[in-house]
Amino acid sequence: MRPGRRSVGLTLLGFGVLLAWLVVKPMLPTGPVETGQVRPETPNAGPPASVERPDGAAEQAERPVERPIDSAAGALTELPGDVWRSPGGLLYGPGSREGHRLRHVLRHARDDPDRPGEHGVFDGDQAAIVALIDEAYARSEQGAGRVERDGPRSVVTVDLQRRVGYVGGQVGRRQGHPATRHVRLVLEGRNVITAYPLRP
Amino acid sequence: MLYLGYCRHCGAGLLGLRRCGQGHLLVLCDECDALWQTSDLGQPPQFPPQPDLPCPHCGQSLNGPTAHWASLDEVRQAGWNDALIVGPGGCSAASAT
Ligand SMILES: [Zn+2]
Ligand SMILES: [Zn+2]
Repeated sequence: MRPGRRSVGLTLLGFGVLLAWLVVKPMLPTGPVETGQVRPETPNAGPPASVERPDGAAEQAERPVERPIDSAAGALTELPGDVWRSPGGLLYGPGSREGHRLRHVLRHARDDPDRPGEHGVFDGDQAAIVALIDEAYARSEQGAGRVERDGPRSVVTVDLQRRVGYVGGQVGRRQGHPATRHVRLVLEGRNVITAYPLRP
Repeated sequence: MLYLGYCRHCGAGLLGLRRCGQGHLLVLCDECDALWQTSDLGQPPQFPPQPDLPCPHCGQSLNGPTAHWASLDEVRQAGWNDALIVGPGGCSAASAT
């Protein structure tokens, strides 16, 4: 290589190294990192969602995390055996064709318009539904509503005296989706078999 | 799912025809798991142990991988009166086929 060409080559190499440094520098940690120490990561923690406020300012808010519906949501506590305990002490465990009672109950989080008969649909998301079921259970423990016992089962029907959902399914569709105030729980002890809003 | 009507225990479920892995036909509420061994729904329901729902004839789980909602052919093979059965559209499955 002639001296002129070598000089051009060295210059290009210098630019390359500088460019690489500029790219890599922001990725490097700014503080000391101890070898072998891994920074704890929150599962599913992406960057916080930016919520646009009416005044135009961006507010940092925690993004709702999509989880499998048989995992913790709201204030459910995990117990051994894939059982989840609600704040009100009800238990959601494995079972049903959906594989888990929570998933089974959440069939009532949305309408099933082609389902024959009535299909009760709760207002709100999973956390709100678990809270409504807890509330109905607490009221029945205080003597409200009606409890029918059949072997190991208790069928509890409680009027929560406000809208909790609506009637879906084929009947609900024909009737314009009337609102419901009642919640029915089918329990075995504190184990939830199913729960849904209904018109008694 | 073929069904025989609505569950009087929970008031919301459809009484589906469930076939265990050994071919036993049962009536199972798809909402509350109340179980009848025959189409005589005047009998009180049974509540098999959760979460497996063992078939009362053979003990295989009614939630197991080989259990399923029965087809009309399977119902006929089991000798059940398919005139009682309601199809997905709410009409008699026998007349719908
Ligand atoms: Zn039922
Ligand atoms: Zn069987």
